[in-house]
Amino acid sequence: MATSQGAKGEPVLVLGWQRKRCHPRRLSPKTSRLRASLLFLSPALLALAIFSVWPMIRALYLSFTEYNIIRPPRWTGLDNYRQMIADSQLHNAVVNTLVYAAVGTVGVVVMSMGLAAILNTKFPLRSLVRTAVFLPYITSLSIVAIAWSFLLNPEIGLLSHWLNEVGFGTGQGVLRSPQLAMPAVIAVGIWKNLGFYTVIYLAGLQSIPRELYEAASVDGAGPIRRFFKLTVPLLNNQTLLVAVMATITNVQVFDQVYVMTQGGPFFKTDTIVNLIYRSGFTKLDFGYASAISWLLVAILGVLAAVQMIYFRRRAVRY
Amino acid sequence: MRRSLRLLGKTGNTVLGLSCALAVLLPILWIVSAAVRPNSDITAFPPTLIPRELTFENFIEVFERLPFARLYGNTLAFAGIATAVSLTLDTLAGYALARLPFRGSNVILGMIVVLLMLPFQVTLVPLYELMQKLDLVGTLPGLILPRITSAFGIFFMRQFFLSLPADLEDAGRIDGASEWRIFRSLMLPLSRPALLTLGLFHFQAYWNDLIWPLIMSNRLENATLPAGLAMFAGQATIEYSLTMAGSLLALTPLVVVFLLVQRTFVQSIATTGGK
Amino acid sequence: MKLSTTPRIAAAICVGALALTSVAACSASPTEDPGQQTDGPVKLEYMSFFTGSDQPVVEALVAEFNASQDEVEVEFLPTPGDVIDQKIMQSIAGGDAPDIVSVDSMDLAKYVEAGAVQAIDDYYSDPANETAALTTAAVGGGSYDAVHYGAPISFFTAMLLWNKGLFEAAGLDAPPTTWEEFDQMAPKLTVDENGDGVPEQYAIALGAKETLAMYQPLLWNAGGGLVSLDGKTATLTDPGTIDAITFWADQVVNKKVSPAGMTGADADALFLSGKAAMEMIGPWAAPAAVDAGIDLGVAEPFTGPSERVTLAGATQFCVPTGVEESHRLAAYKFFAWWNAHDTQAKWAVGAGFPPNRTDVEASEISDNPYPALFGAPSVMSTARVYMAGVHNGSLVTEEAWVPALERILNQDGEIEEILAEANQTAQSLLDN
Repeated sequence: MATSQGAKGEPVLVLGWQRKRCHPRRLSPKTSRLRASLLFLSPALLALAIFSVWPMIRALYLSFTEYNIIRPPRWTGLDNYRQMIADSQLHNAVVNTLVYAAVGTVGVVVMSMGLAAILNTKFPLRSLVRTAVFLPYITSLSIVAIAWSFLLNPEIGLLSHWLNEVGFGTGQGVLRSPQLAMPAVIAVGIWKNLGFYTVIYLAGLQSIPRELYEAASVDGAGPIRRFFKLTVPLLNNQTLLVAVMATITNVQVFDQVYVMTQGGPFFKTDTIVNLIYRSGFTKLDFGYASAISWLLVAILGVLAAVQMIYFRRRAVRY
Repeated sequence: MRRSLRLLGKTGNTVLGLSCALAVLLPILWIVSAAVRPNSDITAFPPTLIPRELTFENFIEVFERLPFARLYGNTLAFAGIATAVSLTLDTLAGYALARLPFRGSNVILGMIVVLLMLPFQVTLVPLYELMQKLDLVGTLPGLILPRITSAFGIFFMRQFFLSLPADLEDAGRIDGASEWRIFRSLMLPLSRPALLTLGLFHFQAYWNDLIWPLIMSNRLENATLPAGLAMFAGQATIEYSLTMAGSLLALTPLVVVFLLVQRTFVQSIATTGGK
Repeated sequence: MKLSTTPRIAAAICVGALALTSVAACSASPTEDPGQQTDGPVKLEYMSFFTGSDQPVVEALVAEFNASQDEVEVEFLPTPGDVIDQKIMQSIAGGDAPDIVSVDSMDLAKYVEAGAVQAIDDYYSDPANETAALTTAAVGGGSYDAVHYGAPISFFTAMLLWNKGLFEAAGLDAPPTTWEEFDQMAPKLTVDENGDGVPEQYAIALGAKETLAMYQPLLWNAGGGLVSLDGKTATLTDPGTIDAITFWADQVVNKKVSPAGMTGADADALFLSGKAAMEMIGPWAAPAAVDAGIDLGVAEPFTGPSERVTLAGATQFCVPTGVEESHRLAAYKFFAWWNAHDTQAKWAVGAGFPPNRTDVEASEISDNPYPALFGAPSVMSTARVYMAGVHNGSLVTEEAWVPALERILNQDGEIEEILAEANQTAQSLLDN
């Protein structure tokens, strides 16, 4: 903290320490950079070590135990991991989570890219639309999920009522339907983050050199062709960022499932984090909950690595 | 001909954009509407967006039931301090990883990427244990400490600093400036937009954070707004009108902050998302 | 790991010491509440899931208790149900447990087996606490394996709330008293004006999940149920259960007497909006219905082919593990005050719940019509507390019963097969 609060960029503490311990002139540039780098990194790394890495390691230890919080953890070796192999609820939750992540990520990438393309053209009320689209991002998902549940209620919900009036009856209601509940929670997830990703794409669109488009126009390419042949590939960097962020968010999906469906009907929208919550906080089986958590981290690691490799080959440089 | 085509395109985009905006805003409009009508009007059939019966009783009751000023203060302190400290630590670490790499810094980066993916539910129980040991349960430091840095923030700032041209710092080095000086005088002024983006990202996340404040606060007077609003959901029923009135009050400052930084925000992402 | 065990050991020593000596042994403990002084009142923390509309009611009563005497001071800490289990468990482990917690009867077994709550048999053996006057159903919800762990907070039965206006419009003047009558009346109360197969008005609002049990008492009334009365055996494949589900699945799926697969909140909203003619629900729903402009009738739920059993629920005051004896005894004063004759009369009038005691006369609670209706002798004599003392009772509901019911209502297989599967899940939860 002291380092960052020096009034004119000369934090007494850091430099004083450096001067006392060594003569700057005698340091090779490489050593002084290493020293600076470590100093810059250490506060954040220390905080991460205490508040993220330590709990994570503790969770790893707990995943080899039976633990209900009150009684001390009892070592059970690989029991929890063995249980995972046979647990059909877990398999179901993994499949649901992957479906959610795949559909939700592709959906939000396509929609935010399309929306950004629209918002990048000039039209009346554009800034209003841009603000509106971004608003959901700063709302609390657990609150808007309550609102969505109410809007989607088939008997007294506003949205269902309107759809009904124009001839699209939702029948038993989307959240109670085994086929429609998952699409509904995916849609709410997309709705929440669409604005943020749209802004990322918008920024990307604004950084594409105009000459590229002019050249394409001269070649006689129409707007749609230009979009797919030129714009989409040029946005690869943004797509990587959006895809990785969306995947991480989506694989961790919890809030709207917890509020809107509680994993139902009959586990059709149950997800990994929802299962972690149930195992830990409802069943008080924190050993098992920790084991599933580590499975989740592994899944996320693999997915992120795959995406990185895919997009690294297609990185755009001007 | 071309002119009219363009006009058509413009109108099309306007219509498309506006309908998108309306569809996106519907739940938020519903929250506003639910906040100013009695519960019985919310559940009445047929449902309407415009209240049949207008009332501001909900807001009064929210203030009676919750120490709202206190909750605002707590939330502001939590989100504000956590954002400020986290921005500082994230920036320093992100800068080091991007511009001052050393042997092994890639390993650190790899670990940060793993932490970036860690769902909070995984660490909830051990983290609470830790706070008990430190005797910080139910205190503001206990609330803030786990949020003083974030793997995402470090990663984000690293990406940003990578995108700055290399000749900038080379010029500084030739002048014999210290690494701190290069960072503080050359790099930091350029990173205002990125800081704003990350700041908004952190601030909205902490402002809306539900589960951690809920677990950490023992009493209403040290709770945050989202944790306080959870009090309106009972065992068998939700008090919709109170929940929504409270949510609207909680959301308003965020919207104001966003409207203030909106313009810079879009520009800033242009510089971070680029590379 | 070393760090984490120390306070727990300290707490364990503390509890062990208590058995031998008295309070003095514990005052040396580092986890001792610093707020406690010798001459001031004993300060107790009461952590409870009474949020929402319950919160102001409980808060007012706690304030009244604090004002009524100067030995004990209770601080009410409302905590949302989603996190309360974890908070209680972690605070017990950390040695700073609240002195009193609320436990739903459905979860009592879970708390006892986790080692989270203390036996309070001595509360019941002290005649000063007048526990003999408590209703058996309320007391039963707080005991497990013949040991008392809880003192009653609240007790309710689920009655049939009916919308007189809708009945009148259908040419009916009284609610059904049997399944046959329901079967005859339901078509008149189920209205599909536009003929799209989705009624605009339903005969009844039956919530399938996230609610108090609405379908389960129907099973009881046909001689079935989820678990046997001793709580050891899953009975989802008993003939009574299968008959009841077959009947009600037909009513809901084919005759559309209720939307399928609603949450409790959906069902409440449906009844409040005047789109359902009946709902079987606890006393808290009655004032809301009157507020919503419904001409409300309250009747005993219709009976099935077998016996009449009325759904009941109860919540209990419990004392977490690790709370020292002086605080536990102070808590007893609060429990006894709460369950005293005058308080219970006030509680009944204020909250609309039937009193926990048998000696509160109808004339004392006539200011509110509902406690007498929900606590009528004929109702009380048939009341059964849902999942009381059943190991993993709430899990049997959430993981075996609700998914099975949702599958049946979505016609996702043969009823017998779905129930057989659910029965296995339920049995393994009971045995686990």
